[in-house]
Amino acid sequence: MSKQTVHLTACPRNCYSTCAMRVTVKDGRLVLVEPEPANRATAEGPCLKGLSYVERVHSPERIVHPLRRQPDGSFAQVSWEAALDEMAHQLNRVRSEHGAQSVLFYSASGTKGLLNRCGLDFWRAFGGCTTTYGDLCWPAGLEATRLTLGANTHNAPWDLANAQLIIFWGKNTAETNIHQMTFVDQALDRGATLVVIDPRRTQTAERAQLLVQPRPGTDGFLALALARLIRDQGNVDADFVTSRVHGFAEYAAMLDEVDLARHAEICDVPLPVIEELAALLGHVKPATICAGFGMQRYTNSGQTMRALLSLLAMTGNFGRPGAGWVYANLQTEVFGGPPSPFSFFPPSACGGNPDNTDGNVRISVSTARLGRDMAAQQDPPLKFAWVERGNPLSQNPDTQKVRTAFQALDFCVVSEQFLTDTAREADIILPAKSMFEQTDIIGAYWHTYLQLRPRIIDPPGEVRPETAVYLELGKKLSLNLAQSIPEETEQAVRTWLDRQLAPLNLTLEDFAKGPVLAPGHEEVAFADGVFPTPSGKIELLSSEARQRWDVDPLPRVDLPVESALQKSHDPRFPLQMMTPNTKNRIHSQFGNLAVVQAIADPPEAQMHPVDAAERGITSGDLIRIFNDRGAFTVKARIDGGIRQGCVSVTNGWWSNECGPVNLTSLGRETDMAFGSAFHDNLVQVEKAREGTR
Amino acid sequence: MTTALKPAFVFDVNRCVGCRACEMACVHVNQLNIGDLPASGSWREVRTFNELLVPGVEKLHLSMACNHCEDAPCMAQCPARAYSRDEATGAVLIDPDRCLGCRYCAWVCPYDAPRFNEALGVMTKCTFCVDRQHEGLEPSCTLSCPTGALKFERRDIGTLSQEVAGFAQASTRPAVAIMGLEPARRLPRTHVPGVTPPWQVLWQRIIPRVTFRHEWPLALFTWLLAVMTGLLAGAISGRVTLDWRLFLAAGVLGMGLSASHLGRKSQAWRAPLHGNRSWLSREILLATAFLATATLGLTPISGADGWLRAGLYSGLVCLLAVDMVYRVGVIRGSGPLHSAHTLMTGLMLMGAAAGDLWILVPLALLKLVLFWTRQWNRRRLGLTAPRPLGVARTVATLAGTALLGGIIGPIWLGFSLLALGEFLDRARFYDELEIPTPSSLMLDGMPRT
Repeated sequence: MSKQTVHLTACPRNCYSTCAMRVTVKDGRLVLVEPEPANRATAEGPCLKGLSYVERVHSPERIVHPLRRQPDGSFAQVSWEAALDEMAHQLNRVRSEHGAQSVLFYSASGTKGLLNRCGLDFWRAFGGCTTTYGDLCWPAGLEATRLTLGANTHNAPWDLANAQLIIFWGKNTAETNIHQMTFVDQALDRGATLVVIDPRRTQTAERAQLLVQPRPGTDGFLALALARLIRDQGNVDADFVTSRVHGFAEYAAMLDEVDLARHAEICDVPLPVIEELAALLGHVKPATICAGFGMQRYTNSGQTMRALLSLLAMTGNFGRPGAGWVYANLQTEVFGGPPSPFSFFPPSACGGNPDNTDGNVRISVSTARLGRDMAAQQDPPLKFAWVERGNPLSQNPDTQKVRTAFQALDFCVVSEQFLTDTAREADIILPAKSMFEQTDIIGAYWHTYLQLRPRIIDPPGEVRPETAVYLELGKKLSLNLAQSIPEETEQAVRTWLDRQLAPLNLTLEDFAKGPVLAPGHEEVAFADGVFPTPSGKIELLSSEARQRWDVDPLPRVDLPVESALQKSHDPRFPLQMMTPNTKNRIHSQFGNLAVVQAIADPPEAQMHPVDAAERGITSGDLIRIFNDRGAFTVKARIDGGIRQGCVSVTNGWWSNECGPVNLTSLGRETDMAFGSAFHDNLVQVEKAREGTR
Repeated sequence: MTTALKPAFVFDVNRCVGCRACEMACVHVNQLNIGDLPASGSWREVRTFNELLVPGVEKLHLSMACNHCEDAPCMAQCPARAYSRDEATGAVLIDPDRCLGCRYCAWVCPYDAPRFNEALGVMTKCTFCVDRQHEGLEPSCTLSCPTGALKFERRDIGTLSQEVAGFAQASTRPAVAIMGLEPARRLPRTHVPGVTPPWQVLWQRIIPRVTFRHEWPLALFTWLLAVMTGLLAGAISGRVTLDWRLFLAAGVLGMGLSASHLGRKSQAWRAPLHGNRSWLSREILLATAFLATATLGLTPISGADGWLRAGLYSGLVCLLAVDMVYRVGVIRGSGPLHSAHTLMTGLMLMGAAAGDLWILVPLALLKLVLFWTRQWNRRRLGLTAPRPLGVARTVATLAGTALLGGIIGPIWLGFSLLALGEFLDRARFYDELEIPTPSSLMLDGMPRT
């Protein structure tokens, strides 16, 4: 008799939507993924990636045993006992020879879950480690939002349906947050105007009435030009700025500096188009700006995001239904610890991460400069790395330097489900659990649901969750972890989770019927008109910005450091490299699955017809994308919708495809909050080989 | 009136963003691509109009599976009677055990719904999730659409869908309703000067359904039928002597060639089972009749002229059936009459073999006119045939006609030259033949540069 059960769970990937899902398990195997309407934000159900878990979990390529690198570079199955013994031996050795801080603990955003924090607890008990500060994803935008509004708190996702003007600024939501389209469609049905600002004609742009295609990295100039026009046309919401905005007089005076013609030239958008958009912002209310992450991965991006935010402040678009800023809603950060973006700050930054203060964890490697900083560590230098939930050899800037730094280590452990580019550099690969194999609670950053992700199948093969590995390793190293890391049993994990939920007056029982709105969830953010900034108002003038980041207290913007408009620009590399996300993957995840490969296009570089013709390139040709930092080859795809001067390859391809796109990017930090400015990335393209059909 | 309402797909172009979750849902619920079953992919496919973002032209997606037509051409034209209908849901179903893998249903379907499964050698297709429907569930694809673009509703079948690029407005009463783009969502205005990628770039992204390279056995088979019909007329006129054994061997070879492209050759015997509706069944029945009667007429045993005439007539009707089979395709630049139609070829070769110049010469010239008119039309589309082929086709036809007209040299030489010219044209026919699919309809909807 086959036994079939249906379970409620939620997808823990680094994705806006964080969908609730209803999954069917038959004979211990996941057989079906279906929509779960209890999450109002994702009621229509998961995207193709969520559906593909059926393959991902049971893939024949999944790593289900500990693997040990062999002298010839291949991997062979080893017993847990042997793997644990060797890891314990190496850890003891490097700790005694170089100190505990010679171990790099690198974790990224591969899976959400409260149990993730057990990793650092282990390394503290071990005597410390080195870890990273900053982030690949979003800190500059978070910090710009925090400086301006006081908190990263937004209206509920479904409130977008109330907007009369929606501006997607650098966000291709149809691919990266598909469920938001439901609310966009509802707004359009109510007569809303949709504007997309993006150098590419994206899928989201297909629904827009107006597509503005600025030069990448110049969004701040566009925003300030809009601000000046709004001011000059008398469309400032005087009551709102008087009562709710700090520093508006200084800001308005700063706008005198804005030379409209020059700004239009820098962002390469005709002035009439800017005027049209300014008129929309000035007259159509309520307005919401949905800002993407890509735009805040330039060296000027914190100030850029502050400039964008100022548009909503001067037009009174806060604290009302249908109005506001949608960037990353952090209302599910309710489990203690420093709120983002503080969690990304090293001890040197004032108000830095208190995790640093216990003295034994060295937070000294910038995520943006991972390769160079790893190599540069002294007293002690890095000898050992432990990587979980991340694939830095695919996703981090200046990838070749990252690879070199990993190869220079004595020993490397990677916890992975598949043989990724990073796993291939490991000495020992630990078979990582899937989201269906250990119970956990996850938050989100678009909607505000806390969701249970229960254990519904047994891990295949010898897969064990990281917590169990830490406990076993802890025994071998004689560490006391009983207080921090739960035993492997479901009961122990649930007890541990209930302990995390207790301060919120929640228990796991509350999740039986479905997702739970985080305590403090707000339908409309800042509805009371109070902003948790030093002044209690929206801060267009932020002294904290100056103190903390040494940037202008007003949202003045500069060009990105690496820009074709800079005097120092190297003319050998005239094209702007863009590395956006695709609906088919979350970064480097999912793309290896046969079901996804059957649906997704192979790696392609979108090129403007003129850029391609100038280089003798036609669709299907193999092209080489390069600069002084690196190169990779990929097929060209002539695209009539991309801005001339840009070339775009979605990120996350593996080395056995076209290789990591970050081979050409340099790890710089953003102007604030230690983000990664890997979109300051100019390249050249040449034909490598004639294409076949 | 709710009685007329039947299960149907409802697709709103305005809501679809081309995410292809519907395909993934199809793959999983039908286990097409995991476990031990071979990868035939999804039965539903999302096609994108203006994929390369030609400026000034909207981009849209069309998610299409089988539309379970009330007048289903696949069911009518399947030679093997492999199709049936589930009465409760209206679902059109294919029985893989009956399918012989001829793939003709994919040619006649306006929606490109039947899919050839390489590993099984048979066609498979969307089942409307009948099992789920019988349990009161909706199809997996409609359930899984993350934007609500694809839905499952009870509808009045036969109401016309709105015009959408790629959707064939067929008279087959499909169980689908399509909502076209609303004007407000039609196209974003942008300030960036657009440069249109050349039309050929778009063209190259279409994978041709029919090519000579893959269908050469069929080209040879259909050409052979016309040649043998012509030769038979020569035998009747007494100008040509045919050995019945060679004739039979050639016929069997032709039939074998036509069966060689079947996915499941052991089911070839089912091909003539649907003669009352399917032109493909008729073609096979008539070819068999032609071969049997003509061979009988050629044997010294019977010696009866009646069998030969029966053979000739069944041969001509068979050639008509061949041309009817291929009528589902279109050839750009060609009118309804094509220079490689087998019936015309058969008639011309009859004239050639029987020495009737009143038949031979006008038909030969007509064929050349049709050939060159078509090539000239196609050149404007950038679809020219290789020049040597056109020259060889013309020279062979003119030389063959001249030789036979002037009675210079043996008949077989002139006849062979004519037959060669016809084969070249017939071979080209397969490279020019396009089976309309949603993808090719989308291409047709694109502006030309």
